Amino acid sequence: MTSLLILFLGAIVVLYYGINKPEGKSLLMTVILLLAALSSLVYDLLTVKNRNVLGWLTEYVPENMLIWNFNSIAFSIVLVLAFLLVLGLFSRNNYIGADLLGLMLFSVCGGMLMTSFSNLIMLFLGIECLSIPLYVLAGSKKSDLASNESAVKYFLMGAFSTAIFLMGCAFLYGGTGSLELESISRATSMITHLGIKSNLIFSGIILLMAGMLFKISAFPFHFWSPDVYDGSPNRTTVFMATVVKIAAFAAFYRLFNEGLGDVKNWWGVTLAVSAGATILFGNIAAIRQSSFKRMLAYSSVAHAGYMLMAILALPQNGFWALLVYLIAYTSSAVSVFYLLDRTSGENSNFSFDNFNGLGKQSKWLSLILIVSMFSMAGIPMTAGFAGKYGLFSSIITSYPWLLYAALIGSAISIAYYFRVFKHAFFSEDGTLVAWKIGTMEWIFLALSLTITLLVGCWPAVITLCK
Amino acid sequence: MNPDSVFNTLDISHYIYLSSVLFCIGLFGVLTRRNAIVLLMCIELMLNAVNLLFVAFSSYMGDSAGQLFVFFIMVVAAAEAAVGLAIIVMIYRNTRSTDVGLFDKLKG
Repeated sequence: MTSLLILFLGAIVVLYYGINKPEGKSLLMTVILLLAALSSLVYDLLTVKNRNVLGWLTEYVPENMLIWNFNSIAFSIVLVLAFLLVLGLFSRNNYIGADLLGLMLFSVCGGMLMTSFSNLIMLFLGIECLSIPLYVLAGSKKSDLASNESAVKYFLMGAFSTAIFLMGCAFLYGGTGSLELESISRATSMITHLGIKSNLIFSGIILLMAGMLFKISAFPFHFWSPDVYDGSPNRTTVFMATVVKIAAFAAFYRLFNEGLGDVKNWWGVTLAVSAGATILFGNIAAIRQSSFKRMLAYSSVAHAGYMLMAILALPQNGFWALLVYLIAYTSSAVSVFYLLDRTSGENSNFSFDNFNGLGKQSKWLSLILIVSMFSMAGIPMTAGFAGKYGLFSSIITSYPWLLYAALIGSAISIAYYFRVFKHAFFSEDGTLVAWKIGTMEWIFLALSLTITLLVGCWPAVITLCK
Repeated sequence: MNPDSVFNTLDISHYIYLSSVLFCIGLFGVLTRRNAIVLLMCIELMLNAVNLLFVAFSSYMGDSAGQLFVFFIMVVAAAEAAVGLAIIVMIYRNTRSTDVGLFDKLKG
């Protein structure tokens, strides 16, 4: 709870301090706020068994709104860490208008509400608090038509999916008589035991699922996400691909696996079909792209499909598999997006040709490109393999056909992930302009590389904190 | 005759049907219309259908949580409309149009 307050109050200060100023000082302030929130979260995680985590705030916070148990704190830590990586690697532009950092902080506050909700009201507020600043961030290049287009598409799709999600909440409220996750879980499990078929709850669950599938951009509600990712400024795109995805999956997992897990026979098959279709569609569409940024957007759709498996798994397996996969995807996606941002220079052309000659420029950058791409494709010894192994083994008994779809999808994905190597290492006509890499960027690149390799070689490191 | 009595004779299912129909009208509008302002209005219609349903359930079950939710939905919908209209104004300045069918720069 302390971490949420730090970020929220800090966001107000950063927002008003930064208007019409370059980012220098605001960026430092944001990083300090994030480190403070991170240390508070780690402290909460270590002491979660011994005391009430609300601490000194217990009497001021309605206790049935937010819950800070092991799962929600672990998701929040990954969320804040991902934002820290994004800021560390995308700080060179020194944009005028440091208030955008304040908006990003508000968005992260919304993400923390989503990871730790215990009431549907808080989940709704979290989703909106996450999304509304993002509509502004997507359109933050005001005179760029692509950015405008992505902002309006994101806004219309976001508001539309929120309405569907809310209709689901209303039906579920009518069917179970409560908005609290625990009471909903109790009511649905009682209904299953008595063998009653409740149309209100059933339609509520289906609408909730449609709303959440929209948010994570899974098939058949994925069509907006490649356009939005493509048109947004690079830093916003990587923010959407990592931080927003972590928050949305944490909320999806907590709502469906923990809250509605007892009625899995009502929604399991539908979700599994959606997951399989997302994996196949995302991977096949990614092959056809000539723009690297659009390829990453489709690959992020495919990764959402893999992560949906965690929601179908048994609670404990699903949680650890999802956590490892989120860490793996974040650490590799952040460095790949960094290379994309730097190789494209100032223009907004993101074709594969930008990578021509990267191998000659720097050995370390080549290593980072290779390891990140291996991790995204799921090659052993990288974090992506550990994540995929966990996810695949968690559903192997319940949905074997989904496993086949996922394996075919992974095989296809190698084709487009490795295509960039041809440009980076075997191409003669390098037009790449070398850029200067700051100390801060080296530190964060090394950090993401270390996470990718460490989790890949020794996945149990994640469970040490337990 | 007490005007309240008309509402007392209505079953909860009437409210469910009414708000489902309103929701579907909004949904249909979002899928078929092309003007960004009209799309925003259709989304508001969907949200208000949800509000009606929440109030009906809340009053039917004698539980105040649903009405509390409605207040939050109204506040957030206002914030969302403010940001959405700002985005539409920004686009109108650049393209002199609010037709979402013209946005086809990003595809593939």
